[in-house]
Amino acid sequence: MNIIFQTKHINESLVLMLMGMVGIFVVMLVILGVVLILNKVTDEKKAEARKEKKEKKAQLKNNMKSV
Amino acid sequence: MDFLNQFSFLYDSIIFLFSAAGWKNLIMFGIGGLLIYLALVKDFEPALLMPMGFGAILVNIPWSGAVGFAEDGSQGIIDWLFKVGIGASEAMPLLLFIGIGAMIDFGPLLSNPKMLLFGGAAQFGIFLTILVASFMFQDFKDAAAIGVIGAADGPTAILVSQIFESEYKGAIAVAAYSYMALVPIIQPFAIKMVTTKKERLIRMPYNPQSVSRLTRILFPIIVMIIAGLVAPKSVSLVGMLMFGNLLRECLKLDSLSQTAQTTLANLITILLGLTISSSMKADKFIDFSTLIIMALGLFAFVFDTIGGVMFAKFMNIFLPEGRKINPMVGGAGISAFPMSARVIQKMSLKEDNQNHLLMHAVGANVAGQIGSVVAGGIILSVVPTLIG
Repeated sequence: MNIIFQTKHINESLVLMLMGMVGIFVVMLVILGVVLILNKVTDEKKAEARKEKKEKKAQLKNNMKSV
Repeated sequence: MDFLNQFSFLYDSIIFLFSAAGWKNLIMFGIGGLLIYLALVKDFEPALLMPMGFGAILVNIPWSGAVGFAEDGSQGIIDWLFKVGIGASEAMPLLLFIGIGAMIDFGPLLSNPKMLLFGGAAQFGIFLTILVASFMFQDFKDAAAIGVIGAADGPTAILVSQIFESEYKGAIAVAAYSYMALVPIIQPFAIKMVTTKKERLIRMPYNPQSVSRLTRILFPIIVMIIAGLVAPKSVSLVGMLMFGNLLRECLKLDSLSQTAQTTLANLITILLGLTISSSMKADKFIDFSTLIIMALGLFAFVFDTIGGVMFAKFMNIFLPEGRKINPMVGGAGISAFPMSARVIQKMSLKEDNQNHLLMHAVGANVAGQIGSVVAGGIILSVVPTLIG
């Protein structure tokens, strides 16, 4: 049993707490940023809306040509 | 008497159990029985606690053939499984992570990515517990391994305790899995301690962004790279988790994904619980330190929850009315998936039966999976440099 009250590791614990929490938040913030960018760039609904708009434009052009 | 002595093999073990040297083995029988009871009757993480309970009895039968070395030099199966499955390269918890990754749907998180922050905040209990444990345990690596109980993630706790060669592996594993099962009791208590009724009544509308297939496929790859660059020792943890998730999300390897979620996960779970019991031998487990570790494990879970809740309250200082976060969602940032999300949903409906927080809580809960493995990786990377 190695349980004796002592404070020799208090500095290491506090440094680890700081580095650990900062490190986790840095990672999470970077992932958050990447996910926001990915969602914006790969938004399927917007891509579909753009495709529909293109198709409608093309149809309108065809209709005008036939007229 | 000589005649009776020839039959001593029939009663030697029983005499040993009731001797001064054997009472600890008897207590381990009781602990094994308790774990089996909690698993089968109370439904506390039965997949792990039942094998652990059974294994605790198995390894503490006097002169058990399942442990140690036989006269012919062959090793007992439990010790062999431990040496090969955990000791050599932490294979079992890492392979289990493939199955866990294949089970996780990151959709609610990807559609509401700010929940990632709660997955980070709710790891606070790990580091606070390391601080407290460092006052009591001579070896800082032991304190770090004990703190990782707060990751609320059995494989991570087992992995860190194994890499740090902690002598408290058994107690750490029992604490991690027991408290994961006790989340429905621990979290409501912790949340009510630090929130007001008004805060618990905050409604959060759910307006998820759509998530493309490409995002779902790129997410596990990117997370692994980012986490690995920051904490290289986390690559095995994060990598296995994300590999499992990629198997699920690529939609081309459905049979592999199903195998990972079912057969692989079940196979490893069967072996892991039994194997962990190798570190539950009476002479090591029956010790005042085991009680301390159980208490510290509870402390870690409580302060994980409080960390997530307080972070939500801190964010609310900057958020306008109508966009505030219900602090209970912060508490879902621990890694105990999906139990924690269900606990938060239940608590919110109890306060207001129209307030559905489930999808927000699920987002935070899966973020906690990422947060806990990153925390484990950072601890593995940083602790050796701190102690030199």
